Amino acid sequence: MTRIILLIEDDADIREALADALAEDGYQVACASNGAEGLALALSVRPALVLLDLMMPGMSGSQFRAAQRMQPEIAAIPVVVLTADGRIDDRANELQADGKVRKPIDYEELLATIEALTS
Amino acid sequence: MQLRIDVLKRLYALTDALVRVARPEDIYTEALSCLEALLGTNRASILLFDRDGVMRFVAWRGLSHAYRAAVEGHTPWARDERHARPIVVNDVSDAPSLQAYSDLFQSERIAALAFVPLVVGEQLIGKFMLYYEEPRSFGPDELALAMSVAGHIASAVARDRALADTDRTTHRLALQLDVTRVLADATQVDDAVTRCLEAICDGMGWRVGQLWTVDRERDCLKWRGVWQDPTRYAPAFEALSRVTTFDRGIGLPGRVLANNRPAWVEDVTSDDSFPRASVAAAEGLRGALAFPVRIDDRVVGVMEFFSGQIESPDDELLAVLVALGNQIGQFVRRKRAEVERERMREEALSAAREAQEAVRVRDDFLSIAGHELKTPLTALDLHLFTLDRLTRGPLEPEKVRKKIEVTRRQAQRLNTLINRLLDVSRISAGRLALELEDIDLAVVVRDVVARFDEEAGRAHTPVDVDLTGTQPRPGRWDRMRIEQVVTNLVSNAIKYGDGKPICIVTRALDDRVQLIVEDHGIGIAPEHQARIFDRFERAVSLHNYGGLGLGLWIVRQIVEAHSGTIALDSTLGSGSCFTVELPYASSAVEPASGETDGGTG
Repeated sequence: MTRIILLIEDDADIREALADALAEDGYQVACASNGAEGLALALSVRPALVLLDLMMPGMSGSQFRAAQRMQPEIAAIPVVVLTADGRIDDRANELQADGKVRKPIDYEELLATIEALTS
Repeated sequence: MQLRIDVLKRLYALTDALVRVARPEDIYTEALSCLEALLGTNRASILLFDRDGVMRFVAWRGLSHAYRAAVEGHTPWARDERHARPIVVNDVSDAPSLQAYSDLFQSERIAALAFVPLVVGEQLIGKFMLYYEEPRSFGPDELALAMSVAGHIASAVARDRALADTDRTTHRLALQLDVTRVLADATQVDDAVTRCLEAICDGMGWRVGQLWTVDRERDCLKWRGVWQDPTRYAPAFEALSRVTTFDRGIGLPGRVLANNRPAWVEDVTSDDSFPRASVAAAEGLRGALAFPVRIDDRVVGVMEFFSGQIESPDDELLAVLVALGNQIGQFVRRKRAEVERERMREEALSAAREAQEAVRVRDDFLSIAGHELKTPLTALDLHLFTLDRLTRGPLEPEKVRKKIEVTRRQAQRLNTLINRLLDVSRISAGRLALELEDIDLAVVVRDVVARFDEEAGRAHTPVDVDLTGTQPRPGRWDRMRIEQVVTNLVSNAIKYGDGKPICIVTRALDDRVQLIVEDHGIGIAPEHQARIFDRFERAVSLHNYGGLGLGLWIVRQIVEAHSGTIALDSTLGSGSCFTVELPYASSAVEPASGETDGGTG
C-alpha cells in the first residue's frame, strides 16, 4: 500500500521539487500551499505523515499544528517541521513536532526521517 | 530742702521711665518732660550725631522749623571731644561766639541757653539743649542736675543703639539662615530665586525684590523674576521692569554689573541714574539696593530690592547680601551642573536605546534575509538533487530541460534578493544614482505585467491592466528603477491579493503621470499604514508572510529620488491601493557623463 505524505509548503518550487523526489521514492504526495488547505487535505486523505513548513501566508505552520491536535481523527499523524529558522530545535519543541529537517533540505536526511516515522 | 526732695523724685521717675520704655522716641519724650519740670523751662531739645558726624535734632519742644533748620549741625564741641563740659549762656547778647545767630535768637525769643553734652563712656554722642526766654544764671545744683539727666539720656540712647545693633545682627543672621534654607530645599532655580527674593524682602521689611540675569550675547541684563509684598503691591513698577533691559553701566542693575560691586540708593526718586524713577515714585518706592549674583567672581545676575522709605546705607547689611549673592551663584552653578549631568545621562541612555534598536532591527533583518535567501536555495538544491537522480536513469530530455529551467528561476530569485540587499546598502549610504533616459510608463507596465503572467496564473489572480489613461509621452526616468517599482507593487498585489483580481491603471496629469496598483486582498490596518514604507517593516507578522520587508521602502526611495510621491489607501480585509506619481521631468541629477563613460582616453 502506498503511503501518503502531506506536504504543506507555500513555495511552489520547493513543493514541486520535493513532490517529484518523494514520488520517485514511492510515496504518494498530497500538496497544500498553506495551513488551511493542509488541514482540509489532512482530513480527507488521512496521510501517514505531514511535512510542514512554518512561515506561510494564511494559516501558518504553527496554527496548522494547533488545529490538527484538536481534530481527534488526525491528531496522531506525525509531523515533520521544515524550516530555515536558525532556532529550529526551539520551533520543533514548541510545536511538539515528531521530527525536524533544516532548510536547505538534505534530502537523504529527510527521507530517513520520513521512513523512521512511517514504517 | 523741699526742692531737693522734688528733684530726687523727678530723677527717680526719669530713671524708672528710661528703664521701662523701649522706643527711643519715648525716651526722648520722657527726658524732655523731666528737663522741663526740673530746670524751669518748657523749651528743650535733644540732638545726636548721625553716621556722617552731623549733629541732628531727634526731639524738641517749643522750637520752630526755621530755627531748627538754621542751627542743625552746629556743635560747640568737636566730634571726638573726650572731655566735653556743659556750656551755659546766661545772656545770648553777651556771647560773641553766637553773634551769627542773634537775629534767630530774637525771633525765636531765646535769651539764655545751655549746651549739655551726651557722653557714653568717653564718646560724645550728642547734646541736649535748654532754652530760656529771659537771661538767667545757672546755679551749680542746676548744672549738676542737668548733667545727671544727660547721663541718663546718654545711657538710654546707648542701650537703644546696642539693642538695635543686636536686633540687626539677629535679623541678618536670620536672613542668611532663611536664604540658606531656601537654597537647600529648592529643586528648581527659578523657584529658589523667587523664594530668596521673598526671604530677603521679608528679612529687611522691604517691598520689592527682583532678579536680573546677564544675557551674555548682548552683554545686558534681562528681567528674570520678582517677589513683591502683596499688601503693598507695585504693579506698574513690575510691569515696566519686566520689559526693560539694562546695558552694562545703565540703571541700578547695570551699574552693579559694570562694577561687580553692590550699590545703595537712599532715594531712587532723587537719583539721576535711576531711569525707572518716575514709576517708582508713583508707587511709593524710595530706598533701593542691588548686589551681584556671582559664579566664580563673574556676575551672572543682579538682585535689586526696593523699600517704601528713604533708606540710609547700611554697609554691614550690604556685606551680608553680597555673601548671599555668592551663595545664590553657587546654587545656580550646582543646579546647572545637575541639569547638564541629567541631560548627558539622558542623551547617553537614548543613544544606547537607539543603538540597541538598530542592533535589533539589523538582527531581525539578518534573520529574515537568511530565511528569504534559504527558500530559493532550498528549491535550487532540491531540483539539483532530482536532476542528479535523472542523470542516473534513462535519459528524459524533456524532464531535464524543465528541471534546468526551474533551477535557473531559483538562481534568478536569489539574484533578485541579493540585488535588493545591495540596494538597501546603496540607498542607506546615499548612493542611489539614477541613469535617466526617455521612458514610456505604459510600456514599462505592460512588460512587467507580462513577466508576472505565470506567477499570477499560479496564484489564480486575474490581472486587469488599463493603460488607456495615458498618451505615449516619455518621462526622464531611470528605466531599471522604474521597472523595479512596478515589479514590486505588482508582486505585492499578487502576494497579498488573496487570489482576487488586481487592477493596474496609468493616468496622465498635467506635469506628471500616475500609476495605480490596486488589490482586493488582506489590506493593511490603519496603525500599520504609516510605517509600511519604513525599512524592515511589514504589516503582517514574520511567520505568516515571507519577504524582506524592504520592497516598499526601496520603492519609496526610488520614487522620491525621481521627485515623485507614493501614497497608500487601504482597508483591512478589503484591499490596498498604491498610487505613485512621477513628474515627467524629475529634478534628479543625472550622473556626470565622465563617470559613466569611464576611461575613454
